[in-house]
Amino acid sequence: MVSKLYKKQLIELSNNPYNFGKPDEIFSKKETFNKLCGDKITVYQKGDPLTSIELWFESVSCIICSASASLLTKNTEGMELNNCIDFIRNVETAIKNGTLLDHKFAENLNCLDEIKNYPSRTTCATLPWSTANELLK
Amino acid sequence: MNKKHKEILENIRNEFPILDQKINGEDLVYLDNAASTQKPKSVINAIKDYYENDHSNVHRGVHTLSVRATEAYENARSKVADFLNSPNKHQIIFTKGTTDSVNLIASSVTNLIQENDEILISSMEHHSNIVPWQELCKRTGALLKVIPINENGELLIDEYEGMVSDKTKLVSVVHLSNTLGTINPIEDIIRIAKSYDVITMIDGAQAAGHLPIDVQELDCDFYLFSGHKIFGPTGIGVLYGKEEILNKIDPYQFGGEMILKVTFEETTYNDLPHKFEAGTPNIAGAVGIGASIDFINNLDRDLCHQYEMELHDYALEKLEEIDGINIIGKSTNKSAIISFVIEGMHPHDIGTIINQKGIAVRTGHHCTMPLMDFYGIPGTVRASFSIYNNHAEVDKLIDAIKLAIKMLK
Repeated sequence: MVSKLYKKQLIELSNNPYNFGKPDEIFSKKETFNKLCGDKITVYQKGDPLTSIELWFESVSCIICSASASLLTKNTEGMELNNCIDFIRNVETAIKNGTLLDHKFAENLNCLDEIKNYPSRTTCATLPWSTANELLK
Repeated sequence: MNKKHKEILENIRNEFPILDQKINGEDLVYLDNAASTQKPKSVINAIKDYYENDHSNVHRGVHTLSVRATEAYENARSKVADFLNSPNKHQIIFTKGTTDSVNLIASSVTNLIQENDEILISSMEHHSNIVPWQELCKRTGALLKVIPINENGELLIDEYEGMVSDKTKLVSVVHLSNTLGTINPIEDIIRIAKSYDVITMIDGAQAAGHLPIDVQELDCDFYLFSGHKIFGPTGIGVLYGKEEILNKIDPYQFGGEMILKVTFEETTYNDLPHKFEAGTPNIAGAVGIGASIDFINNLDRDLCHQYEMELHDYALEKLEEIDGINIIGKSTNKSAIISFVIEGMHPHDIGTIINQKGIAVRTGHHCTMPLMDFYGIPGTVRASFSIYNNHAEVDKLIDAIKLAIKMLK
């Protein structure tokens, strides 16, 4: 059922995204496009990533992409750089493989699990994570 | 529409076996016809029969199957020539599709284009009628100019007239916009270009299945379309060209079929149309496109056009009643394509939700990203109608969109 995909939590995250916008101080940024639809996302690292991770984002995108980006910025906040890169890669892989629930990720990421039943929309969910990986690696 | 007409249209729907299926437990409602039309039994059977009975390689074979395959292939070319009212069949080149046809021309006219020459296209072009010209400009130093449109999605003909000059060498414009549904005044566009002796190319990918085309009356230099948008197979397209210019431009690809004589020192090219058909062609595709033209020729095209527009008008009226919907493309002369956006909602989310109700629409930029930039939107939801759709399907579309809005609010 498509209502399992568009859960209230997902819509709420998209409507009130965490760290949405351009931060007042930008250490680095990465802009990417969704090759399937042309949607755009920019992920920013606010301060020196060697001190602490604080990601922000701007996007012209669907609910799934903006909710996923919101989960990215929330769940990575305060992480150490190398841990953060590992975490981002693991989450991206888990979304792609449909194995989010098999990991001990934060519970709020579970709302992305249903995307495994919509292969044409997987990129919408992974785009923020792949962009952040490109930014930080 | 009278009872007899309704019966005719219901019978047409029965010719398309794919439509009789469930998607997510719901009857399939296929409204993605601008991307690709479905195939009638006659086209499917023609391809099957060809492979079961007549297949071999074409031309130069002396055995019976090769003769049959050649006849089938060349017979399809004759059907295309008649379909477009081409003066003769050797002006019909088979390609992989419309994109391939544009690339063929953009590559082959290189020797006619010089630095600072100008190529004109319009703001509503598909990427396939933008990128090949950008590449030509890179190779030659020519300049790409874009004919503007108004908010309704109509070409500004007066501005176009002011843009054409002695510097202009080629004008390439879409006949019927895949995103907006706008039918462009190509007769005027060609007439104005001709007054400056400019080469004219018309992208007929959307138009060929909906409008009667007469290339002699239009007087364009090139007209192109794809098989899969006129109820035919994928992987086959058509390029019509005036004989004089086809003889003047270079081949696009080189190899077998396109030669008369080869030595290690030099090669003499074959005559038209073979000069532009290197390698073994898509014979089954040609058979399929021939069958699709037979199918169209057996339709009452005026009735079909009238019916498609009736569906369009009905859908438009219902859509405009929904709060927050904005129609993109409001030309006074348009075809049965409706693009729209819903305030605060992304087209992909709408498309995913209504697919749950069995409804197939296209969402996104429709390969017209510059047009999306013009309207300041990331994409649209596009419902495009064909002769096998009906009013009940429009009602299902409207109900599904209302459901999607409720869900996403």
